[in-house]
Amino acid sequence: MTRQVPPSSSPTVVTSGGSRVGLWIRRVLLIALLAGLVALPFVADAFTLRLANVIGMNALVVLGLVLLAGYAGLASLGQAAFVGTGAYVAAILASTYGMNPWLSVVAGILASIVIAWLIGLITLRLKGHFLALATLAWGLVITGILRNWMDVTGGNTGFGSATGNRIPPLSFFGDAIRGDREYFVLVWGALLLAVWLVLNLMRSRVGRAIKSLRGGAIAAASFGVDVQRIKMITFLIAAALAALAGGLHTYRELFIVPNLAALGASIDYMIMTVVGGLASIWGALAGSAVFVLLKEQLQQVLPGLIGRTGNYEIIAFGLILVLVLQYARRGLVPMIDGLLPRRPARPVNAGAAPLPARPAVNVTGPLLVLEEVTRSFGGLTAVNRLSFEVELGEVVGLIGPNGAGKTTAFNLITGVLSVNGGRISFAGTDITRKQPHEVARLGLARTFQHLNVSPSMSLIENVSLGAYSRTRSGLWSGLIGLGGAEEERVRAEAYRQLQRVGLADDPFARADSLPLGKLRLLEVARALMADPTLLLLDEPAAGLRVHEKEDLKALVRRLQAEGVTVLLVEHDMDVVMDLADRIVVMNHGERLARGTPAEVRSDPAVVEAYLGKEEA
Amino acid sequence: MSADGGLGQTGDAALVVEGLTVRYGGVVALDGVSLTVPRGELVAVIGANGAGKSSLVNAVVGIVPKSGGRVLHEADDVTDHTPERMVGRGVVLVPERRELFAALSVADNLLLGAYGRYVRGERDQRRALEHVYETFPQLAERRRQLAGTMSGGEQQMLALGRAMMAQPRLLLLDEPSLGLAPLIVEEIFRVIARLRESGATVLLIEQNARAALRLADRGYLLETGNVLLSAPADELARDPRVASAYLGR
Amino acid sequence: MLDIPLILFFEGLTNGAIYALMALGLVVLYSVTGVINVAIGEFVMISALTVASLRDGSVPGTIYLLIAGLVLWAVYGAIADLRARRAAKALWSLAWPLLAGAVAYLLVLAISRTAMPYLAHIAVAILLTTALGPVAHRVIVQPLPRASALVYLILTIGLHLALTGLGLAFWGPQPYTLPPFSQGRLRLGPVLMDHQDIWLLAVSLLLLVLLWWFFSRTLHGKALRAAAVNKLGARLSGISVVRAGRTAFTLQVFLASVAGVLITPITKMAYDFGFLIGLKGFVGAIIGGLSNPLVAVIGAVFVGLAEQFSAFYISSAYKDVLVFLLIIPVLLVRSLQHVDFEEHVE
Repeated sequence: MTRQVPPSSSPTVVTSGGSRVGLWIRRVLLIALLAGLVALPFVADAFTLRLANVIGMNALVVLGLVLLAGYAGLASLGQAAFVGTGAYVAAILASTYGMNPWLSVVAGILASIVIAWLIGLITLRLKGHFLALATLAWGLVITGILRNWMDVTGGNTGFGSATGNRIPPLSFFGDAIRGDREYFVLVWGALLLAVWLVLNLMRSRVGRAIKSLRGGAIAAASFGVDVQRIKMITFLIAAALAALAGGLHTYRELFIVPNLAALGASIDYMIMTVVGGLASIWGALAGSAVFVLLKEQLQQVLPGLIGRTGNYEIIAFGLILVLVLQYARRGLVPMIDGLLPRRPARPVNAGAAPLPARPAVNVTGPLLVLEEVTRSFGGLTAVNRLSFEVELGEVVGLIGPNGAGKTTAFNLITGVLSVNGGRISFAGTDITRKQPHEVARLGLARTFQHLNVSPSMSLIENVSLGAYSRTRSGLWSGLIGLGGAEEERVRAEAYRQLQRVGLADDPFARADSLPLGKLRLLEVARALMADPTLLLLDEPAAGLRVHEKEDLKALVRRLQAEGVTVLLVEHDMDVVMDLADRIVVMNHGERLARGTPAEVRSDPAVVEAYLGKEEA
Repeated sequence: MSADGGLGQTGDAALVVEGLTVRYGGVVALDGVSLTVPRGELVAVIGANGAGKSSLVNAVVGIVPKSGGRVLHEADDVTDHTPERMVGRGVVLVPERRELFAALSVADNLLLGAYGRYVRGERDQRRALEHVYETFPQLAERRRQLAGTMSGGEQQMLALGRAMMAQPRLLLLDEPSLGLAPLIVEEIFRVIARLRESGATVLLIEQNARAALRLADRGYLLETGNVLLSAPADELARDPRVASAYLGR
Repeated sequence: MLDIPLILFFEGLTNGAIYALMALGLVVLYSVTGVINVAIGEFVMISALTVASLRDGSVPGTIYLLIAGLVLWAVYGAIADLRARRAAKALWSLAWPLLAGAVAYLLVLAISRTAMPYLAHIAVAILLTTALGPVAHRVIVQPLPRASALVYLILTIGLHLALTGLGLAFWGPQPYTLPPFSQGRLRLGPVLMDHQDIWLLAVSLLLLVLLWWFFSRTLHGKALRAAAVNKLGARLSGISVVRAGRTAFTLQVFLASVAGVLITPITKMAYDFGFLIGLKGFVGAIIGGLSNPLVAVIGAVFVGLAEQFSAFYISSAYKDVLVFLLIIPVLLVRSLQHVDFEEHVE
């Protein structure tokens, strides 16, 4: 856990102005929840405990969906299939093959992970809804197999003691764990452990990468995040949590049916996720509690109203799903959280050790070289045999009239678009065919023409996203909270970068409280987190007011003095002419001219490209 | 801030824009811009990239929301109109990226330009189509070709033709020369000149200041969301401040 | 023996035709609005069971659903007008859906009490079910403009649940059957086909031809395609994108309701039968990449054929499993084609 230094004792600690009351209310709520959970097995009747167990197991599945849908923006409509896989693999291995029950649960989880990995391989490159449809199909497939592979799964009648397949109970040092009271400890123990792990994860490097997916794949990749890999990790974690819930279900019931994996169950998990809060870890608990308790009530009331038995509660849940999406998209827990006073953010220990610096590049010749780079879309050639280079320590401006191909050139350099011909090299490495995250990791950081900051995150959190390529801690250390020291260094580094661009007054303010000019500086700070060799600024002056442009110019000059090389794509001539050592002018996808600002400005070809031909 | 014209002129003005402000998030793209397009005239709005030219026409037709100001078309307040309603009134925009129906044929693209009139029961599309084909013989040759497979210049002509199918009372052209080779740009401007001579009312947004001002009756120079200058076109063409707005001071 | 494959072929073709109507409806709606409507199968169920109610001489629950939707439409419309400070228009927005609902109710009441020929009941049921299309679009989809495909997917799952549950409440759990449009069998070479199979194939084919004509020959159809290819271009040509979305939704529901009355005489229908039919249409639509209507129709027919042949030659128990596994190679091919980040660039 992060060391919390009292704010008054050390001048190097930066704290936020959030309210102590907010912190205490949340602490009291958490303690009340934990106290209630501790007391429950002693005071509650069997029925209540049974409901609590159902809630706990659902919450495990929903926790995975929160990560997947809420944080990574990927929806699965087949989470129940992973529950079913976990449950049946555990049951069959333990019953038919005599495997140790605990090991069988682990085997069920591994089986789910393998299947999820295969599904992920073929869908994670496509648009998000293809994953949803593929998992939906997988749910139908696994349910079909469970229902029909009678010899192994017992078919529709189910699998367990009642059908002649005795599932041995889980045991703890020889004592069998039976009954909802004992299972309550197991289920909620597992759930709280999972919540703790996920909370740790989301505060770690990998968690930051998952959060960065929300800003879009291009932005995440520009921080050095391997987007496919992070999506896959998230998907696998979600599948593992679902399979764990399945394994626990098997041993609590000692009897399982194929409906466990059916689409209906997957939809239930989706409802719980949306109701509790798509991007809320505690929402997983709230969503499943609300769902289970409401379903219990509706199942008692509705058949009486309608006069027939049946699962009429789905009418209510269908309508709830629609209404929540239409009117309360954030879900229950984030809504309540918004009503409470804000809590103070974690302080920044500005004295923490700096992150390792990027080794200085050692190139003979230019830092960035474009040779005859060409790219066309359909029949239109957007960039045509473009060549130019950027020397180490220079500020180079890339300019041209609207539609000249500047943005395409930018996307080709950063790897977002692939080239049709030509060669791009950076710091002596050929980057022509490299993926955007690989280019970023080489020390090429960028900002965005259309701002790409997370409005609801604080400045320091936004800037921290840029640290990915300079940090090392992995998935496992993140899960168990070992990334804390590195995290402290990341926050300290983020604070330093905020100071560097002049935004350190209130590092805990939400990004959406800043005016545009400062948001552009925020993106520069985020790019600087990577300690870049080359900084690509994509129209940084667009929409800025006069004094904001002055701030920007001063910053770029300071960065140049500190040794950063800058490639500036910009249409604001005042800014480019003031800053650039050299200018490359593009027109119709080709290089029209290059030279010093004065040379370029007096070049008749450039004047004509901008203003049009003089009267003949 | 009123660049020219007064309320007294609104009677014979096709379009009056008063104090139009557009914000995207925190960005102020247009800051209280006012201008008038008299009926039967061609007014050019020039300025460098990012000056707010596109925001101006996009806000006028209702593609982007207005944060302040008023828009009058033929003396009616149309500030709250959707683009569909503006087309119904005869205010037709040829947008910067042309926004053609790439997967549809040239002929279908043109016919759809008249969709609003078709829905209102006006069944003269064939005649309108022939008129467009007369103006752009290249389009007639390629009437069955898919719009997405044409060259940039042909696409721009198709976009112009599609707008003409709506029988516009006011034509808004957003950077018709964008990304086109010089020879094709000249051809496009010749077409606009012909439109101008046939009495059309046009608001022309153009980065290519010299070509635009050659055609226009009146010009406005935009810089960072404000009207920097407004003058008769020939005066504006001679003003040194235009060059410095483009290439820096 | 030649006739077994031939019989399987015609059975597969019959189911495939139904899936093709689903797939086409899904592709049209997705291209115009970005909505993947999971609830498409429920409209299949509703139209079939509405016919069953009308034949019973009872008032079908469909009308209550329609009225509830129209009331919401009235409220939404009036609120939107009041927000735009158009009080007079708000009154009208409030009044017309309520009036329409009242008129529809009286008509349905009268129809349910008069003896009518079967085909008239079918026409009424299709009309009534199709009327749910624009209502569902107004009440479910339109309040969330510009949401992601994912949000729409979850949204229509809500609609699917609500409609399934209401189907159960209106018609109970038991399956219903409807008589064929005409009795009798027809010999086609070695194969003996029921008249209903021929009706089904003929009507489906007719619908496909009509749709082809609509989309390629009428300006309204072209306007829908325009709205699918380029929303901004459509608006600038005077095509209302909201109206295009509503038309697409209505078209989809119409296709589903026709499918319902065609298939029920052959397979029976209960409150939860529609869903699987819709899902198999999905497989066809995904084969067409959710965007190519022709490939989607071919894919859907292929799904129908694959289902029958695998049921006979491999295993009848696993025919659904095999059908849904079909999307795996399709997604694999799409994934392999996808080489870089370009999909994310606007």
